[in-house]
Amino acid sequence: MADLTPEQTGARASLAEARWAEFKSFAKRFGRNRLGMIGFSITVLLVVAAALAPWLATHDPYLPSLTARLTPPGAEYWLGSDELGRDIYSRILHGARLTLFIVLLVIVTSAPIGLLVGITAGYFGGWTDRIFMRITDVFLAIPKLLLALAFVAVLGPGIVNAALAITLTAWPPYARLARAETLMIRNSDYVAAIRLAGASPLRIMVRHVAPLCLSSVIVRMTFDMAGIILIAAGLGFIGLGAQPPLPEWGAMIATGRKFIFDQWWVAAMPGLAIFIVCLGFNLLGDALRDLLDPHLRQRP
Amino acid sequence: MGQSRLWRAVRRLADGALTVAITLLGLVALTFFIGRIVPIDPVLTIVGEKAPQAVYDRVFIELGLDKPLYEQFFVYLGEVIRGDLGTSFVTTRPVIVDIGRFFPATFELATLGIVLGIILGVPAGVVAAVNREKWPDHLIRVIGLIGYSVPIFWLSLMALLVFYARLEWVGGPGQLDISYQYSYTRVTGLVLVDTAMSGDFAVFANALSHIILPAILLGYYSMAYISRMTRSLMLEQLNAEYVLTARIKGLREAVVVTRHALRNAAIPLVTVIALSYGMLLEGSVLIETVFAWPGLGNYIASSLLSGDMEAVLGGTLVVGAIFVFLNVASDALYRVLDPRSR
Amino acid sequence: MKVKRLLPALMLGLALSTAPAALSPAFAETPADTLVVADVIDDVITLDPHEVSEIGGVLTTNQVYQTLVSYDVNDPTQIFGVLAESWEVAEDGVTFTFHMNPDAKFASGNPVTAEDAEYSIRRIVKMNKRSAFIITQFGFTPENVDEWVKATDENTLVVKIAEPYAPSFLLYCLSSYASAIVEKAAVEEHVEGDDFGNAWLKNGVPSVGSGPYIVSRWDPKEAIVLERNDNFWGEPAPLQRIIIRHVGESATQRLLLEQGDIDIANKLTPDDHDALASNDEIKKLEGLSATIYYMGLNVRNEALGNDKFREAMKYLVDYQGIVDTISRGTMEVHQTMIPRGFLGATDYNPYSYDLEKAKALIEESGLETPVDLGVVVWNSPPYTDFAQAAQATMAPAGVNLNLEVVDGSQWLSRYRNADLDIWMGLWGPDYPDPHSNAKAFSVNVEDAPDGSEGLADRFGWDAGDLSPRTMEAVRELDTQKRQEMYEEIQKEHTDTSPFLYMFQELRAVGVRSNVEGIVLGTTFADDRYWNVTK
Repeated sequence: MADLTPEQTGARASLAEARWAEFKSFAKRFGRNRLGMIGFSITVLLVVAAALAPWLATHDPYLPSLTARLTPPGAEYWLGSDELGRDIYSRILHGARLTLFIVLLVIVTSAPIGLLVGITAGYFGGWTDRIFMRITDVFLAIPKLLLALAFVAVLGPGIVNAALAITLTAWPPYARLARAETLMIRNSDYVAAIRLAGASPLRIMVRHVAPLCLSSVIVRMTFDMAGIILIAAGLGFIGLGAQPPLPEWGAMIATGRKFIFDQWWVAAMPGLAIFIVCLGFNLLGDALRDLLDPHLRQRP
Repeated sequence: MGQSRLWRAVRRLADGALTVAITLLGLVALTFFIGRIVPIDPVLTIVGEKAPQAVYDRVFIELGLDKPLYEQFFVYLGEVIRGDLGTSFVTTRPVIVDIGRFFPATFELATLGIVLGIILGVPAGVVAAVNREKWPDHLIRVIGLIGYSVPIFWLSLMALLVFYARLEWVGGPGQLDISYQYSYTRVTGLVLVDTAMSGDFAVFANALSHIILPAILLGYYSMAYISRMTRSLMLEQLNAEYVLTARIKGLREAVVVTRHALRNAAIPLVTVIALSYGMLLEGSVLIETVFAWPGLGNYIASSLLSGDMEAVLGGTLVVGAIFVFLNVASDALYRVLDPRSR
Repeated sequence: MKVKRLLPALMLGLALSTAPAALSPAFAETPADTLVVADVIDDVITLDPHEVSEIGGVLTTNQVYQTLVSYDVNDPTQIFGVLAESWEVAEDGVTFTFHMNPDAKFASGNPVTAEDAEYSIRRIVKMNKRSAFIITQFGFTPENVDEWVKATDENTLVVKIAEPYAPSFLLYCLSSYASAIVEKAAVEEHVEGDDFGNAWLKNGVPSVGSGPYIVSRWDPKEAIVLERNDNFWGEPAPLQRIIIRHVGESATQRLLLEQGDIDIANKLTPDDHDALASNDEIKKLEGLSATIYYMGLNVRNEALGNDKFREAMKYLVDYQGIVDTISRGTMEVHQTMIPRGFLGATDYNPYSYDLEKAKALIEESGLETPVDLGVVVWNSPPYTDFAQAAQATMAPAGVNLNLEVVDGSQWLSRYRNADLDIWMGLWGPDYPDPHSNAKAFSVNVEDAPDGSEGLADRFGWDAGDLSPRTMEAVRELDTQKRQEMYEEIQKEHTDTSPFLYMFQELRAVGVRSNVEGIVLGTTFADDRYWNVTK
């Protein structure tokens, strides 16, 4: 692999160039999609907020100040303070880290599990397919939130456990997607040729089938992000997600519920944060799908 | 010829039934094992924290928790097949009786929600498709995306704050004001129907004022999905050749849209609606918690928190079975309605 | 092209027609003959009076069943007869003779006889449900109870106990919710196997008591409805009906109270009371509750097993700060095991927030900081608030509390299995005798007459001579002397025990101002509603 002929290097370079050009045209088309750009900006904002939380925050997000409980939004506490006198703005900023953490953890675990199950089922077919798909169906047959609730009950509350529980409910759609794609590719001439060349099933699945599933999986992921955030917040709201004093947004809403009729900001602010972030992911996903999804692209 | 078609239909039916049976069995197994490895101690919930060890041990055996896990599973499976979902120790009643008591409230709310979702979502989807890439389309898309993005429990809280506490337009949590609670006879379990039958308009109006807010929220939630799907189904139809032909023939656009495109889009739309009905059952878990709605979602969530696993298992099983049923039914309906798949 | 305009218009119309679905929900007053009480009652799992132990269940059976004796909530030393007209204690200190009140009758109209009382106590002991320990701690077993508890004739009940105690101890226990007298004949009709009619009575309907109300309906997790007992042998209750309604959220309870949907809100937070303060239609009813909030430190943990370190922790909670801010008017600082209002209570509150002193004590303890400790907290106020406040004040001394906030049943299960470092919890006495608390907090299993584990054992603590001394105190017949014994025991206990006592609860109930006659109890769910008018 070390020595490449000039032709090979040339071919690689032009491939890279072609990809770059493709990316540029994609970026250009994306830039024209106003809603998509809004979504993209919100996502960037979330990442920046999470990364710079300690510098952007005006207060310690954990330090109670009992004399300043439930202060309305104002100069000192921009978004008000909570029942222990902690600054809600600073807590939301730090909560962005938790949100990103959960989303990433779920994505990097559930997508590979789904791909593995789906591709295996699709590639081998027969009984493997039937068994795997039945299992997938069983998981799909229970409402996600309910299933996540049950898993969290087993694992115990906590932020990592909540993420794991969501993973356990999030993989089946990927499995279905990957299986459908694999079924299409499996009997193609392309795969037949590789098989004739003597490649092992594992190699074919990992090196040749999986990459072809990726673009639809990525679109699906962007859409899933909002769903993951909402379920995580739901778990936090019921009290089974992140635990105090962690500033998880759903748990913050749950606390705010007790003060909803007078100190509305305690619940309103973190909810607004969830809403904006989810909207960002959804706008982004929507735009990406329009641009990336081959089925839709062909549509007039 | 006729016979072989009949044979094929029977086989397909049998195949479908087997699939459903296996899925349901898996469902029972999954819920059972989740239930048994939950670290919530059902014995403790029964005996309380002050009881001596001897009392604890006796209840442990009474509940059959000393038997091996697989044995407990087969006992449970046998009971489920006989329609016995065990007894909830919180309500002290058979789980199946409880579900019968809590389900109507969920059914009523979800049905009203889906009706609102259809009334709002289908026209919105049609408008969006007709005005593709123009402002009504964008507006409807954004409204829909907001529905996808907002935490429903938070929206419920905010709606309660604004419409109940501040504006006093609607009733608060629960199905009725407490003072009305015992002034009608429960017949169907559907509070709107029962209060209407009681003939007392004040009670009915009160029930309506309580259900309207959660129903609108659920309706909005399903509208987001229905309008999006309607839009893409309509686009497909509007670009079909027959629509073009109809337009060339000089039919008015309104006729083309409603008579032709919408009618054809309606077939797959039925599937969409069935699926979103299932989604509403899920959305009801959080909505019911916020609105103190005495439905199945609330029942399952609160049973989970008190470690009443028989109730959780039974409830989850029923919701899961409804999901499976909705899927099968919508598939079947699609086959029956769609001429191409026949 | 018309369709373009038609459909948006249609949609707007729909939106408008649903939005002001105001229907002006007539915010009705509660009916004049009905008392509506909001409380958290979704944990009620039985209405069998010999099994109940949740707040909602006890609150209910207290209105429905009666006991042989009772006491004045304002002065617990005043014990008076209810179903028993009088009683005497024999010289031996273990034989009690009760003379039944000939006027008393059950809701069925039948008289309450000694035979019913005999049956009830035997039923408690033989069923041995979760509240039975209140009675069985006197040495009753299913084997001996037929001998020890006997009706010698229709009007006379003779009760023998294992050893002599302060006489008020047995009387208090017989006044407890757990010692309700049920109608023997009615229960026996519904016995299945050896369940003593439990499966039938669990549902609570119909009830078989002699109290001013009867249970008419119980919708689990929703509501309990009581109707006036028309056969009541005492002064009939003024109100026809009591509805105890489950309302989980305090903010909702407040709103319902403001709008007149309920008459009594039992679970309001200090913030709710503040908001209601200016409302003329609502009054705040205050009373003393015997509930004590504490942190149990598991001495099996290396750091918590260190005496100096435990003492340091007691200086690391801002008791007064919490009382002044989070718990305004609902808690007072209380650092001993026996609540104010009980025999033997003292105002010994030696600890306050003192970071320097705590640091010095930790230094002395020889432990390396930071020390990480897990705290199991119930996911409900005020526990979460207390825990977070303590977390913040302990951190500067290098004591890091990791909060594990769990739901109620896991919270109990972790504590029962001693599977924790620190438990943020509460204790409410079951009867208004100091022994209820003293036994729990300072008697080790080898000294307990019924051989049951108390809190000391649960947190792995050997109470040393405090354990036998506590048992001595309950056997002391001289009240003055008994009082002094408890005072001494408590001071030592507060200084050395792994219990970090923080607060005693103050009851604050929100009530519509037209409602009169509520008597707030001091022990567990002991509120009395039968004289309420509105």
